Amino acid sequence: MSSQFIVDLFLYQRVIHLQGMTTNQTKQEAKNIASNLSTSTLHRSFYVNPRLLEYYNTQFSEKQVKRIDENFYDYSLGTRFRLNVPVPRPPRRLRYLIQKSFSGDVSGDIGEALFAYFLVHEMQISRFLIGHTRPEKKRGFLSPDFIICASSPNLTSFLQKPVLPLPILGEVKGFTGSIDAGRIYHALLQLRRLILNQSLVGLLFLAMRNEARHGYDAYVVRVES
Amino acid sequence: MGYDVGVVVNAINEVDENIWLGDYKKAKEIANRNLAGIEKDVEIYQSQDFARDLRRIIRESKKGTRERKIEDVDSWITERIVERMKEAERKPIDNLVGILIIHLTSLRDMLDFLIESRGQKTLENSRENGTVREEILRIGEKCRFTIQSLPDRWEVRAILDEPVKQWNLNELKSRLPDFGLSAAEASKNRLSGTLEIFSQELYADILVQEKQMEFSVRSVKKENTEERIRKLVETLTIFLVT
Repeated sequence: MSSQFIVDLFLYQRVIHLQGMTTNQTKQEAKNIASNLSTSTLHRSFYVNPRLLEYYNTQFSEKQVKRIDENFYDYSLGTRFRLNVPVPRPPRRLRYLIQKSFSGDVSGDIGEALFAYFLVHEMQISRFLIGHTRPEKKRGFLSPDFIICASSPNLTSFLQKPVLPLPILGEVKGFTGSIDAGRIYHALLQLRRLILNQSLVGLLFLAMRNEARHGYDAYVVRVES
Repeated sequence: MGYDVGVVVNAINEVDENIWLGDYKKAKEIANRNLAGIEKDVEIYQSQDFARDLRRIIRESKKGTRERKIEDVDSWITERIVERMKEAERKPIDNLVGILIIHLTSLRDMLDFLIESRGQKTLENSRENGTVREEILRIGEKCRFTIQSLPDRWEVRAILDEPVKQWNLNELKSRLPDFGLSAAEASKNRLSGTLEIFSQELYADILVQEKQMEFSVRSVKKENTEERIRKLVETLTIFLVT
């Protein structure tokens, strides 16, 4: 049986308010998040079944990396793989059903699959109400990685916010190496443009490999206008 | 615009689910049904134009920023987005609805193409490359399933017509010895779980999640193996959902 791995789930100590923030202030906020993650509150630890993670990988991840359950050790080390894409171009004005781009790094893949796992298994949100819109973002649309169209008692309790306006917007960043404040800045900038002055809530999900525990640390940052 | 984004997200996921199974006709039916509802409301339907408009503004704003001597490009682009929203009297949520409608429409168009191109394939082609699924099969009134024969295994995918209250993995496990099979420890929570089963001739991992089941079966290939696997899947499914 595939061995399970552990994920420590943290909630970042502060809610980030983006309204009126300049670019420099947003960059500074990203640096603050990167350097203060260790002060986040441990919410709980949970075990991830790699077979189910692979299921969410095929359902939700943007990058087409197969069998992260069977190859978890290699993937988790950040081994680079080539993307297997169909050779012929699709007919004019059509695109393949799974339009994925791939830099060779699998950390983003694990991050997105882990975010879906967190929502479905830990927060008890139906898979059918989670929209994966990262492919649209790659096509140039102003879009988050995920659109979550349902809340749950687990989620409101975890985020310490009794009522969550829907939809909730999700931005995901995965790290196998050291944390990169620049990538956090891009996620905050995207949420800033999506939320603007509306009463929407964004979740910044940072998945970091925990080498010592052979697992992952997942940090959730609540972002509002 | 008071539109429930969840409706279109749910529709996309249902379409994806049927593509996963290989039932393109059902996928297209779901896409058409939902798009027909959306097309009735002009304001909602036109939100896709708004999403495309914002994409154009972002692309154009990125060009020529040096000539315009714009120092803070990110803020400048954000301001252009805000301006456009005010002009169009739209909200950020309208952009998201537009993107989702574009996605659903794109899926439907591609499904048209796939249904047409699949019709031109012979059964021989599909067996040779092993990529085209067999016909959609049914287990009574409970579910649809397909069996894909791959070089090293059979991949069985199934969708239940109705969601189950609980997957009976433990019930299934207790019945396996009747079929000469054993099981490793099941991993399970409310609506999902996995189970590995094996005998001297067969190994399979079973995954269940909400309405979906996936069986990945490895066995020595003999003349009647596929038929045996089909029967086994039918039997196991009945134990899982009753």
